Amino acid sequence: MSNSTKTNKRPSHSFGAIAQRGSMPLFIFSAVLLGTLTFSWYSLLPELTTVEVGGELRDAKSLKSYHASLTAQILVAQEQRNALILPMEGTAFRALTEKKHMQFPLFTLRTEIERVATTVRVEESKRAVYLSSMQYSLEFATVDFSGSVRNVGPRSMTVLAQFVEELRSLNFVDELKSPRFTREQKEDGSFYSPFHIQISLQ
Amino acid sequence: MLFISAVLLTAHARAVMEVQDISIPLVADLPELERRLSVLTNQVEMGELHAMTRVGSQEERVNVFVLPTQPDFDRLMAIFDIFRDSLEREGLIADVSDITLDDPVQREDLVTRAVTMTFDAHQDGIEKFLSVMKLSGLLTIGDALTAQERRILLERTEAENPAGITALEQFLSTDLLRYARDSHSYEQQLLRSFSSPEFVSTFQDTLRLSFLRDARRILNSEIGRSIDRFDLWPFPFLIVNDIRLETGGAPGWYAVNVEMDLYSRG
Repeated sequence: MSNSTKTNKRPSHSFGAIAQRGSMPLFIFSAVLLGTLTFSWYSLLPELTTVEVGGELRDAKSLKSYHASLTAQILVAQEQRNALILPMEGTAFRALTEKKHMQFPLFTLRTEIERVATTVRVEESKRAVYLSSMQYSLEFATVDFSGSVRNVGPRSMTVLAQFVEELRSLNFVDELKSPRFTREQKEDGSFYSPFHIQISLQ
Repeated sequence: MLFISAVLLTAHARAVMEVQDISIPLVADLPELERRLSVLTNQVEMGELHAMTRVGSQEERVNVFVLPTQPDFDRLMAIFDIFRDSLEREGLIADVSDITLDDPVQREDLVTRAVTMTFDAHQDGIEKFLSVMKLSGLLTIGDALTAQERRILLERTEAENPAGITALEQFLSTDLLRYARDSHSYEQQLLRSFSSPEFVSTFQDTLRLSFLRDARRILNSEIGRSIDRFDLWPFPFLIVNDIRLETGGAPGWYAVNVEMDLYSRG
């Protein structure tokens, strides 16, 4: 074996040479890509992204405006139909009628407050909360009522606090002005707590 | 060229995403919207035709009886007298005070006069009183229903038989007093246009849960018959503003102090 050394002589690949050799395929690739995309943009994409609605071909933008116009026309037609179904829409008479329907029924209120009053008691003792008067202002949507807590000995203020908390949890109560918590004594020595509560309705 | 291709490629991607995010959901909605518009347009056309044949508009009756330019106080007192006599006979009311009328107060386009009275009443009597007050000013079945109750009936009509809108319109424009005196035949007349159990059930719920039930009860009672006999229907518009109940001597009885607003146009 000869003791000669082999040296690999590689041709030098300068950037310029690479660019020169690759420019033609790149050009062809770019041209084909651009051509395909242009063809797709003008011919394929409209075919694939438009739909025929209402006798017209529509793209996304046009569909959006068609949808909005249909919705607006529906609202107008609905108002026209409602006005025909129920005449005098938009008049003072209709506004007053709606005001009537908005009023909270007094006896539903009274029944609910009475229900709470009868359930709040100390263990098995007698009924403790008694209502004496109720004023319902429909104009201001408020209910004022008075009464007293009795038959529970010195715990009348605790029972009153319990009653107030139960009232606060009723779903039609928006705001409840807490009563003044006092304990008074009758001539016979028994304790009672008078109260006056105001509820704002939702 | 590569740059233009990249721009075009991005535009393609955007177009495909638009289809996915906008077009597909919109296209799914459109048939329903088009159907709804066509139903509503037909209903409006039918409603207009029917409205042209309607004799005597509600507006005229409102202007003459419900919101007149000058309130008819004799008529108002006669209504309260009928109410008091009827409840006194039933033993539900006692010690009715005189009715006081305050000076008129201008409120935007309308004028109100405060009407106050006191009486002792059983809670059934108070309930009847409040129902009569709620009835005041209402003319038709449509007036006695809330906007929500009317909307539900209209939706069911659209879903089941859009052409039935004329029957529904006739029903809603029926005079409340006439309806109360013969409710069954008016209800059957409407139900002839709608046969599905869904509509019948919605309709029955509306009759049962709305103010129509109270209106029927009141106008079909002695009070309603007297109102009809003395030609006092419809009532002037009254709204209860304030009511005070004091627990009375007997169980279920209250001392009542009530303030109402009587409305008129001038």
